[in-house]
Amino acid sequence: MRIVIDLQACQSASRLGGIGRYTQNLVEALARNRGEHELRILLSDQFPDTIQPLYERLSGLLPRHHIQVFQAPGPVSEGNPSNAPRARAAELIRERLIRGLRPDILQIGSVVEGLGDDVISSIDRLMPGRRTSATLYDLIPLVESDTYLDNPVVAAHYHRKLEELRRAGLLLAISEYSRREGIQHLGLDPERVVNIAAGVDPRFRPRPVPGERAGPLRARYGIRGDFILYTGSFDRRKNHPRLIQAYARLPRALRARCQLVIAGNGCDAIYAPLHRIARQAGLAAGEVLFTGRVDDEDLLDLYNLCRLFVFPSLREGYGLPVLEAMACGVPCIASGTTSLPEVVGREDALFDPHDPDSIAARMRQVLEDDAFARSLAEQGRRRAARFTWDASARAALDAFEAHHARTAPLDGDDDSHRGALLALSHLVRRHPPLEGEIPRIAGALEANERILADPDPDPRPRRIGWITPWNTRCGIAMYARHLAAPHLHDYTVLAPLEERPDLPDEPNVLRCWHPGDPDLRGLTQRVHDQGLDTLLIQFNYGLFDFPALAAFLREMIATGRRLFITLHATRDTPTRRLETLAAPLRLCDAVFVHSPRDRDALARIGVTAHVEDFPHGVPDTAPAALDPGIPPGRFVVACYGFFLPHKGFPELIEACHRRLQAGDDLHLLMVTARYPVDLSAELIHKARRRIRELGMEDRVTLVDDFLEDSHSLGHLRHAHLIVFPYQETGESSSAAVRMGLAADRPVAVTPLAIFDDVRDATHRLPGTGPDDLARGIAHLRRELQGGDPLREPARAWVQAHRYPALGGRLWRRLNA
Amino acid sequence: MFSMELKLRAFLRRHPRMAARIMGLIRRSPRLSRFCVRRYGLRLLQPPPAVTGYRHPLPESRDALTPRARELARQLEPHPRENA
Repeated sequence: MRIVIDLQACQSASRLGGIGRYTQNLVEALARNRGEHELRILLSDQFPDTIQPLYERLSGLLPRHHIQVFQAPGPVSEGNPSNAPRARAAELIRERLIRGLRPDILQIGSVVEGLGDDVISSIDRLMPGRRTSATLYDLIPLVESDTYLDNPVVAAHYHRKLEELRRAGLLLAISEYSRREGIQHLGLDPERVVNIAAGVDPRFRPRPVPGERAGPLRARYGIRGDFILYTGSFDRRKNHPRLIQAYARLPRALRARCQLVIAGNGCDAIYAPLHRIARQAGLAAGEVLFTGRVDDEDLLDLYNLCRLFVFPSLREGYGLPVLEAMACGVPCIASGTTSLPEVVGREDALFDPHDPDSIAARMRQVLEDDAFARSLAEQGRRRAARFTWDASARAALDAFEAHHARTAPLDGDDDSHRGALLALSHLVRRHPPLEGEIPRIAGALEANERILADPDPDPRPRRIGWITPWNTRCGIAMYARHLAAPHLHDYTVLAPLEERPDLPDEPNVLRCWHPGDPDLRGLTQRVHDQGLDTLLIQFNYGLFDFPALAAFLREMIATGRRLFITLHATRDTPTRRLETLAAPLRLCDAVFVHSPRDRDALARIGVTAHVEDFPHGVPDTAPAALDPGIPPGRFVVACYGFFLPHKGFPELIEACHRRLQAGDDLHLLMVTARYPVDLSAELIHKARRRIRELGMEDRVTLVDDFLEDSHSLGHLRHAHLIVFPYQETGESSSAAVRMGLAADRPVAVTPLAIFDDVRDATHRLPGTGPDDLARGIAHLRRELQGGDPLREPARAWVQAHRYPALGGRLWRRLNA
Repeated sequence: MFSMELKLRAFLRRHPRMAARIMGLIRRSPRLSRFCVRRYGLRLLQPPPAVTGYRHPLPESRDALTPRARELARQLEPHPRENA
C-alpha cells in the first residue's frame, strides 16, 4: 500500500502540545514498522521553519525523497474570517495534489486545525473520503460546547471540521474512550473507528537525578523538599482550582514537607486567580508553585523527583502525562473519568475530580502509606511498558490494511485535475476578491505538479540529470565527460549557457542556466520538464550564487528529487561560505568529496552524514605518437595543467634555471594549456619573457594549446620526471596529476593536501618555493637512476582509478 | 480589573474582525506586545516571520507566471480573456 501522511500537525502550533507529540511519535513508529508498505509524508510550505528539522528527524527512518512539501496560497487561518475563501481554495489545491499521488490510504494527523494558524485540512473534496483516515483525539469542545464554543467563529470552524471528520472512511482513536465518544457524538459506524491507543516515549523511564542536577532544578523552581506534581495546560477542564483546594485539605504537617508543583505553559493572568484560590483555602505563599513551561529534560527530572503525580483533569481524550509519569516509576493517581481509568488501570488509584475531599483523600493515602505508594509505582511501570508507539503503529497499519481490503479502490481515471480547476473557478466566481489571487493559485497548482508522484520509477533506470559545465575547457567539465562516458546518452546534461562550447553538444545536452545566476528557477523548470528524478551536481565556488543554489536544492528536496553533489572545492572565499549550503547538503543522498580535507570542512559546518569519497579518475587513453623535438640525452622535467596562478609554473622555471646553473643537462617540457581567461594569457606571456631573460629558450618547450588527452599523454611520455609544483590552492584534488600518472612516468608533487589522495603513487617535493623544487628535482634525478621505486604502486593506483571503472560505479550509485 | 478583561475578551470573541485589528495594533507596539506576552502569554501576538518559504515563492502577478501556470490561470478566470 502507498500510505500518504499529512503531517501538518507537527508543523502548526499543535507541534508544541500533545497532538504534535502524538503525531510525531506515531509517524516515526509507522516508519519503523512499515514493512513492504510505501510511506510518504506531506508537509506544508506555510510553516517553512519547521521543514528542515522534520526532514532531518524523519530522513533517518524513511527515504528523504518520500517526504515532500506542498504549496498553497496563504494566509488561511480562519481566526480571521476574511481568509475563508482562500482557505477553501487551498483545500482544493491540497487535495488535488494528494489525489495525484494515488495513495491507497491518506492519513491526516489532525483535522481540527486551521483556526489560529495556517493549517490546510479537508476531507473528500477531491481525494475520496473512503480512502482517508484521520486521528480522533477527543470531542471535548463538542461535549462541553457551552465552555468551548461560545465564540461563533470558533464554533463554526469546529463544526465544519467535525463534518470533515465524519467524511473520513477510517478514524484512528487514541483511546477506547475517544472511540466510544466518536461513535456516540458523531454517529460513526463502529467498524470505521479503531482504537490504536498511544505509546510512551522510551525517554520516560526511572533514572537517578544526581545532586548537581537536582539542586539547581529545585532552586530554579523554588522546590524545598518532597513535592506533588501536576503537568498540563491551563484549560478549564484541567481542574486546577479543585486540586489546590484538595491540597489545602491535607494535614499541615504533610504540606510542610510536600509542596504542590504545577508545571505548564502559563502566565501572570492565569496564575493570579489560582493564587487567590490558594490564599482563600488558607495556603501560605510557596506551598503551591507554578513552574511555567519546562523543557523535556527538566520534565523528566521532575517526574523522577516527585513523591506523587496527580492528574485531576475532568476530561481527556487520553492523558499522556499520566502514562509518562507511570513509565518513570512514580506513584500516580488520576480522575476516574473519561479515558483516564483505561490509562491508569486500577480502581484504587482513581478519585472523583469534582470533589476536593476525594482528591485529598487519595493524595493523603499515597503520601502516608508507603506500601500503597510502592504498589502504585511498580504496577504503573509494568502497565506503562505495555503502551509503546510501535504497538500503536502496528495497530494503525492493521487498521489501514483491513480498511483497504474492504474499500473500493480509487478510480484509475483521475479527473481530479479538471475537478479542481472547475471547483476553483466556481470559487473565484463566488468570491470576487479571489480573482486577485489567481496568479498565486495557478502558481501553487503548478508548483505542486512539480512534486514527483513516483520518485522511485519502476522499472529502472532512473532519469538522471547532471548539472555540470560541459564541453568547456575546465577540469570539472573533463571530469564529468570521463565519468559520463559509459552511459553518456543515458544522462540529461544541464549545462550553463555557452555561446561557443569547445566541443559540439550532444542531443541530450540542455544549456539552461548561467554561472552565478541569482535565480535558478529556470533550471528548476527544466528539471521538471525533463521528468528528472535524480540530480548530480558538480559544485565549485565560481559556478553558483550560493543563496540561489540553496533555494534550488530546497526546491529539489521538497519535490522529492534525489540529490548527489560532488564538491570540487571546500575552501571558503571572502564572499562565499559553504555554510550557506549546510542545511540542504545535510539532506543530499550523497555528498561526494575527493579528500579528507573536504570531509573535515563539511564536518565543521555540521555535514557528516552521507559524505562519501569519490575520487578523481585516470583517463583510459592511449598516448599519441609525437616528437616534441627535445635533444636526446637531456633529463626531461615535464609539467602539465592549465596555466593559472596557483599551479606554480613560474616557480618551476626558476627551479630549473637553478639546476642548469648547477650544471645539470636538463630540459623543461611545459604542457600548460592557456585557460580561456585573460589572466592565463598574461601569465604565459610573462613566462615566455622570463625564459628569454634567463637564456633558457633552448632548454624549455612550452605548449600552450589545449590538447586532446592522447596528445598530452604523447608529450608527457617523453619526460623522465613529471612535476606538479602547485602552490597553496583551494582545490580539493587535482585532475592534472592523474594525467601525469597515466603517462606512466615518475611523478613528483609539492607537499600540499590537494595531493593527499595520490600520496602512495607520487614522490613528495620538500616545499613549494623555487629552491625547494630545485632541491627535490636534484634528489629525484639521483634516486631515479636506479629505477622508480614507486613504479608498481603507481601502476596499481592507476588501474584502480581508471575512469571507465569509476563511471560504472557512479552509474550504479545513482541508480541504487 | 479581571471583570473588565473578561468583558473585553467576550467582546472580542463576538467581533473577530475587530480582534484582528487590535492584534495588528498590539503587534506594532513593542511595549504593548511585551506586556501582553508577559500577562496573557499570547503567542499569536508575535510578529509573523517574513514570508520566506522553504520552496520558491509563489508568483504574485500574472507577469511572473510560467507558460504552464498562465494556462492554469486562464482556466480559473471567471471572465475568460479571449480577446485580451
